[in-house]
Amino acid sequence: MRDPLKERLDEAFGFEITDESRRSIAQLSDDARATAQAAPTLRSRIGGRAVVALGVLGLLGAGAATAAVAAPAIFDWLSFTPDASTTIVYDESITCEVGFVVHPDFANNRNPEEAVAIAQEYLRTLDLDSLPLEEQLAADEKDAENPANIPGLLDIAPEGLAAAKVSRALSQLIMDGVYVDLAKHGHTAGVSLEGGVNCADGIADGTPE
Amino acid sequence: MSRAQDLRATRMNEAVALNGADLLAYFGRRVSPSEDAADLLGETLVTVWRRVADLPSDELRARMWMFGVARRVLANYNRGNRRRWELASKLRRELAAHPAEYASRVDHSDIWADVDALPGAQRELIVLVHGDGFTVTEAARVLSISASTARTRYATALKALQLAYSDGESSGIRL
Repeated sequence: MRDPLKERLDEAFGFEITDESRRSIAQLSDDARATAQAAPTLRSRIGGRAVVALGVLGLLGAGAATAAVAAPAIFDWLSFTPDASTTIVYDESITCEVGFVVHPDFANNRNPEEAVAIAQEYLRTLDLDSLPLEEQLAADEKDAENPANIPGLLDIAPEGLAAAKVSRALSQLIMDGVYVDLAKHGHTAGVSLEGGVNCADGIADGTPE
Repeated sequence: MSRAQDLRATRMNEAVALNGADLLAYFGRRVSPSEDAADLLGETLVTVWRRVADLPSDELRARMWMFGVARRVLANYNRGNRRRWELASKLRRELAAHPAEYASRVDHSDIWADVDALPGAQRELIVLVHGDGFTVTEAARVLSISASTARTRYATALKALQLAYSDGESSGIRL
């Protein structure tokens, strides 16, 4: 006879996906294939990480805390060309690579150009040092749902946890900032925001690979 | 497109047809709001299509490989790297209107609470086995841990859940 606990677990974790969602997955896969084929990794497109570090687009928040950093591996993972990118050093010990790109979202806004321009301008002119990072970190610390507060959930060595928390907080602040700024300009839809923040212990020396 | 590329694309389409909904459920169980699952699935699919040449030929290994990619996408999300994929907007809207949810209409809040109370590594193993349908050995491969570690971890988790039921101190699993 099957263990009743296991039976109960099977039942409790069964998940329902609607037929409509199943159909959308097939379309999503086709689009993902087109995206994958149209956007080779940034590294292969421009031929070297050092070029990525020194050459891409506008800076986001070029304040006193920013620093040149070699090898922004985040762009390899994300495989997009950011509208705005930079690095920031937090607490004199953690270096974060930041990159975001704004896409028009025609599905939710027939004329997304203005919203896209506003979001791009926000990202280009954003001063990372002005973001309430300490407050966000404190709020995250109190958030029981925050994966970083659930022991063992994140696949991160304990020594990397502080950097991971800064990544999460910074990412949240930037994304929230974009959408708040869009709302101030009367836009609730029209952009897809893609981006990442990758923080790690240490201060990069800016030496290209 | 070469014949080899055609073949790989066909195999990938088959793998997505077999595993796409399960991958969406994988994310649906683990993220909130549930529509974020659409973006995570989009990112996973872009990644697997980019790496289509690495897709294992065996069906089960292909499934585990795709879940391995999904696991890294989820870890990246949990570290703060968020993306909103335009290509996932349709699925995102569908999930916003009809959130992906647990299938059972029975109240399982007690057992969810007890599983939530497990250490993260044990909890993930329980959900991989009882939610995503992997055997303990397969789940070990998805998690990149040894099978013996997974077996020990799984047994410990079950023991803790059984204990939660028997001592009645936690939310209490009703069997």
